[in-house]
Amino acid sequence: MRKVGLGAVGVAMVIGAAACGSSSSGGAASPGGGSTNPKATVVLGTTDTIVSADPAGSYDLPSWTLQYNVYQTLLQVPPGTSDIAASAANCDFKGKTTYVCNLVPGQAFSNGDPVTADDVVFSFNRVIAINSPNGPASLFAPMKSVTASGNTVTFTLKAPDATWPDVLTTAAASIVDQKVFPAKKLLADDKVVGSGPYQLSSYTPNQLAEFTPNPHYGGSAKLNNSKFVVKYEQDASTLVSDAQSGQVDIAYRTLSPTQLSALESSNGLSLAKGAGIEIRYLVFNQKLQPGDTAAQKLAIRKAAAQVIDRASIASSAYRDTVTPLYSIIPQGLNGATEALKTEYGAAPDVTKAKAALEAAGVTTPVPLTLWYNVNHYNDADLATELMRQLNASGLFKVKLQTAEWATYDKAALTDTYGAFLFGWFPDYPDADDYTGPFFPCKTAFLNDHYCNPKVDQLISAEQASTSESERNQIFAQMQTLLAQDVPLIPIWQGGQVAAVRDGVTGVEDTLDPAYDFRFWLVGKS
Amino acid sequence: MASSTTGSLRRYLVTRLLLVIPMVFILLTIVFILMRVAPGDPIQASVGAHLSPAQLAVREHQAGFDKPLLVQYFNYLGQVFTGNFGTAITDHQPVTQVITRNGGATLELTLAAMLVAVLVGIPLGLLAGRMRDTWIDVSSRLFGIVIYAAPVFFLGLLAQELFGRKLGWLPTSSQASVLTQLDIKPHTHLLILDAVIDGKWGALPDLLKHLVLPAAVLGLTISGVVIRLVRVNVIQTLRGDYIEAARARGIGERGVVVRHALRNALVPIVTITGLQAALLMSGAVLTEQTFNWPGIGNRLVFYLEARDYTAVQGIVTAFTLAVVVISLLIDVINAWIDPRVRY
Amino acid sequence: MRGLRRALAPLFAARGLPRVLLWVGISLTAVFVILAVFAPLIAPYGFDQYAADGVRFPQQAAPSIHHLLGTTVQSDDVLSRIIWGARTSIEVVLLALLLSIVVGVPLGLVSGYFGGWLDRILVLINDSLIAFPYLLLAIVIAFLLQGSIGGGVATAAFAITVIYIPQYFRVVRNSVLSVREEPYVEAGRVLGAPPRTVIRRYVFANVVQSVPVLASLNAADAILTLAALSFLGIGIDPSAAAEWGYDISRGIDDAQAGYWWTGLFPGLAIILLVTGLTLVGESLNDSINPLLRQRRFTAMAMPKAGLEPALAPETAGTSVIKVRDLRVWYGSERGPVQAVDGVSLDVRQGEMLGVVGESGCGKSTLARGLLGLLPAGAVRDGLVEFDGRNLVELPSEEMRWLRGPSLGMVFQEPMTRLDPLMRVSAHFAEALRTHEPELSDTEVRRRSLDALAGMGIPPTRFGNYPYEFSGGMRQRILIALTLVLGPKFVVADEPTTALDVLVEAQILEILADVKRNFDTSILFITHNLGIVAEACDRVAVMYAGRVVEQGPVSAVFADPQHPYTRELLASTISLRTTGLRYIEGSPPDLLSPPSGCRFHPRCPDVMAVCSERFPPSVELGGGHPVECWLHV
Repeated sequence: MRKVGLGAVGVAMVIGAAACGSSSSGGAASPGGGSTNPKATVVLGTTDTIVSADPAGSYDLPSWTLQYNVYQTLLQVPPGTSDIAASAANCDFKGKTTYVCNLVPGQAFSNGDPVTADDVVFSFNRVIAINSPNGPASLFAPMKSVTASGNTVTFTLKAPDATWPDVLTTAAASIVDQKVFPAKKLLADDKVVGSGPYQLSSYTPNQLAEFTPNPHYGGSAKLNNSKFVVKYEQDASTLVSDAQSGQVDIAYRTLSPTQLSALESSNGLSLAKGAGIEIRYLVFNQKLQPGDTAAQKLAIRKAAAQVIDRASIASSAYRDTVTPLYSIIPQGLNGATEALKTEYGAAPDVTKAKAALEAAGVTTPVPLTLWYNVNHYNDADLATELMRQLNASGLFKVKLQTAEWATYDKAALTDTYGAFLFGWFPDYPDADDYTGPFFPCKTAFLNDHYCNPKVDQLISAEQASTSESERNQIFAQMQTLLAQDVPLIPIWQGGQVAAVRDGVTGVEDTLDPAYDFRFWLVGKS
Repeated sequence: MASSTTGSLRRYLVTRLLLVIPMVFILLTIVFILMRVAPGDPIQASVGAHLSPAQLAVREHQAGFDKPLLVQYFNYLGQVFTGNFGTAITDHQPVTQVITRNGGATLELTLAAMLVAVLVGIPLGLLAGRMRDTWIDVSSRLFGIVIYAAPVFFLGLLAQELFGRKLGWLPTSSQASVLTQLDIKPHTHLLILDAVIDGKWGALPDLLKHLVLPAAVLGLTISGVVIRLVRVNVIQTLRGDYIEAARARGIGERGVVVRHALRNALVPIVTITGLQAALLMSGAVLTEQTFNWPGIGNRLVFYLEARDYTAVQGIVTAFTLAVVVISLLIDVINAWIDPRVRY
Repeated sequence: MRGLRRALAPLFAARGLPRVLLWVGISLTAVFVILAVFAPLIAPYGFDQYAADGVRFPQQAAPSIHHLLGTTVQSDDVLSRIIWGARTSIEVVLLALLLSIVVGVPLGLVSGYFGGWLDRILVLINDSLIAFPYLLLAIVIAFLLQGSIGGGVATAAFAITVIYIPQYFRVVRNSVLSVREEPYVEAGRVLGAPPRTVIRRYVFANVVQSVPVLASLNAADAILTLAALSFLGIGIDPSAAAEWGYDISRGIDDAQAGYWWTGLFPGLAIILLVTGLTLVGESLNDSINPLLRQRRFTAMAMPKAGLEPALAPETAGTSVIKVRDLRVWYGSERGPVQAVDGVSLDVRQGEMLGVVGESGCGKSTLARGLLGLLPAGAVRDGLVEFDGRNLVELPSEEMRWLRGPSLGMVFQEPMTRLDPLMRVSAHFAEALRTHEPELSDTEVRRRSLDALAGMGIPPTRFGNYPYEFSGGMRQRILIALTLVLGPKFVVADEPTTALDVLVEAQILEILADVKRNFDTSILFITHNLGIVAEACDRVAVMYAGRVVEQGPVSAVFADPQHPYTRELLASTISLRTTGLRYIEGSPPDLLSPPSGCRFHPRCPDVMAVCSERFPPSVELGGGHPVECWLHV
């Protein structure tokens, strides 16, 4: 049901590998089962921190979670799917670089102002004009201009881009009230006004956010609660105790495997699981990694890919809350293959790896410093497992090193680390989001000195194409190439897990690859 | 020799206040240097992994991070001295709001902890000093030493497990329960005070219950130091000549200890207790994290990790001022207690 | 080196419970040091060893035979990690302290000694650093260093070092400042010794005393700081070494899931090691800090057969105080000391008895012995009859009630004898209310003002604080305070020694007035024979714990019968003195006084028998006993 006009670009239903949740079919409204009290207050606890409630000022999941519930976007991803459907507007491509949206009438902001096409244009231009340091302006790079006429908004793109509709589902593209939001500055968090199902009625930064129904809401979402409170905690340990004592009804992000099992075995709590497309991978900086020649470096990377035992990692470091990942594009997205499984096999093969290294003339064990981060990624156990596996093969001598996030982030991306662990969180559930930023020779954010012009070509091709089957083919080719070049080694893809108090429903319905936590789906009896 | 209390006291206070300026200046400079020399910057830390290097460079240029260090330094100094603490880069919070909001919470916690420390530490220290080398003395000292030796986060963990999970008597996180917190209007951010101001008496039990564990854990840790300090000062004071003279006049032991020894011992105790402000702050950071107390210590660590220069420098300035005010208060109290200290 | 030995010597002199504490501390510390040093031999497994013989250890397994303290989430053995963690802690802390001392101490020395602008700037920086919460400072430095040299032992050590440098700087600088003004340092400078020598010889020795205490207490703190840093994730890189704080941070997750062992044992380890180090530091402080050091007095039985009881003087008139064969002894570090070894004397009503002797002859002990103000552990024996009762046998509580209204004492140093925080009026109120609680406020005030008026202190000064008075005035206030309750007997222990001559004369006049007007008996202790001659009626000359001669002042001074008295008088300086005379030798050690007559080594008239037997007391008539073989 992805309405993109020129040819249907169908979509797969998402069934996450680790999911045991229900996947409801399309539509925004998904009533929970059983008898729930529509007047209930639901409390969600999380360790996330908000950067900004103003869409122009944030580019992170926690802020987007808040914004998804307070604002409307032109398009949305219905729960349990990775389709694109209408939200505040019905949209379509009208020409390769023109995208037209017709606003659905009757939408209004929580202060009563009606949602107009001018508001939409204002919202987009504003993001670009403010260009906040941690804002999402870069997402709008493909857009050349946006205009309004009556109830219609017209986007003119710089080049054909099949992913533009996806961008319109992100919170970056939230519609704001031009009468309230300044054009050149961010608005204070407690003053924001949106046309989404909820309004932000009370906000204590980094502590509590209270959401009550938007009295003028004109969309199709049905609210299962009359108040939703998010409690932001500094540390997951207090989140666990709050969940156990009933202070919060839902505990979501970011809990360690041990904590999840503790919650699972606690009275009155159970785990809700959903599919996820968060990934972890091991990057080699091809300038700094071990190996004297390009061939040796490649051999070393291949050997590492050959030796890693993903299943063991998933069980010992993660208690199986993640699933092995055999391609940069996670399962559940259109176009995903398991190229590394094809190339290297599902199970580790030390003999093959050893042979490859010998053939390239690499002396073993290869000394390797593997960097990992704890306070942002919490990868201590992953890194330890990797080290043990690589060392146990006899082919590597791995030394671990860690740094805190600001140092790590800078160093990893500026030619300081030879091999490091990194993660990725999608902006929207499309395979391009896992390739476009990573591999182009000139603009890859990883700065790992990987350059394969063929991959570049394939990326441009898939971005320009609007045929799903064509894109899938292109992606398949790309993944095969990437498995052979192995610039990075994908390790796991993660599901979403939340601990839920008995009597609270609807959480599973919203744990899907879109990562939009939809407050309105949650009910409490 | 007429008593000239107010004149010299005023001069003394003024001198001390003037010393604040160079102190703040030095601290700001130190923090500036350390922060800028440490790798990473706030933009990189927050969105670096989303952007291409070119896009990242553009944003850093816009924020002025590629200007020469000296230029950035003087820009910032100018800001601070015009009272503009700026806005945090990481989460767009006005730094003054961060300071009042989280500072208020920390104040509530540290005041309560100090109360615990004093109520536990001074009587025990007094007993120990007076009954030197008896079992009372030894057990008080041991208690003080062991309780200080237990890291605050470890003690917190034990307290949470015992009183929270096992016994279920007390809450183990936050300043208040969710509903209570939504109900209270934060004027000072010392929520107990705010509840009293608005007459919301019903909220008090909830607030007090939340305050008990963190204040007790932090307070007991500090009491370990207080016990030892009071003890040492009481012992030293009891050797004083005027003590012997009082005994020679037949003043009873209790009178000697309470009227003479304790009061005289209080002067150095008050001073040193005040100096524990820095210690208290450090302990508060760990306590705040363990108990999810929304304090300034924790925010500072957060901003440090995010390399948020503006926020860090603003908070450090505010904190330095707080420490200076506290030590000024201590000096005023001392001058009030001890008539000799009015130079 | 000698200084170090001197500093540590008192450690071994600690007795009783403090000694127990000290050795507990040393043992605890030693256990961990041993664990640290011999970790490879003691630990069952490596700190990050997760398998043995190809078999992986269980994850988060409870304590069992194979893993005595259980395993962690990474399948590491908890016991091994505790042992290796000891090594990490001790390595980091030693390195950090060494660096702090190496940087802080010289800086403090230089800054304190040379002063000036350098000193002022350094002090300002130092104070700023101290004011800053140390944990945050460490965090920032850890960030800084992690990026450049990585997260190993060195980084953690440096982060901690920076916190402790200011402490050493301050302590050392203060030491230097206090020593710098000492006369002997000044003398050294004047004599031309270069600053280096002066610092090294005098200042350094003092400093060395305080550093060990600071170091052990800092070591304890440093372990906590290291644990805190690791707990926050910016301490030692977990893959480089085991660290207790980090293990606790992982253990919190586990505890909530019921795996209590991963966090509990590291926590206990920290507590034990820090407790051990603190106990060592505190005990060192107890021994070294002169303000805390105790002369340990142990009550001992009379160590040897007593000397013959001294004769009491035959005097007419009623004695207010009758002292017969009073002995005061106490056990010191070096052995039993017989400070007062059989003293007999009388003080009649309205009479001033002067007690003279050199330093160390037991005068002050006698004074305090009479009033029961001896330190704990000192023992008295004998008779001190007052008001029909033997004060020696009186329970201390009853003794207390006598002090003030019946017995009084005036001390030597008036500057420190008044509570600096209490007004003069409060002192009087306290004294009066303690003993005469039924007095009204007006009565209290009237009596106080009267007493002060008698001393020449105007009522306008009644509400002043002690620091507002000169030494002489304070002594007068103290005398008034002593007399306001009307005691019959007052001991004055060198009340004018610390005062100048003019003030001294005033005080003596006051005492004479008191004696005259109130019939108060006064025991006046002094080394100044001139005062005795002027103001006293009778005199007792003390030597080595005995009264060698006593009698009417006129008789004794005009014609001294004991060689010691004679020599004392001869060595007194007056306006007519042309040449200096002094007594050869020095007063004997009361620990082991000379055999026989204690004065015999210095006596110009010494005879053979003098060194063999103690001379008996001989009454020469008119209340004039003397202890000398010359008169037997």
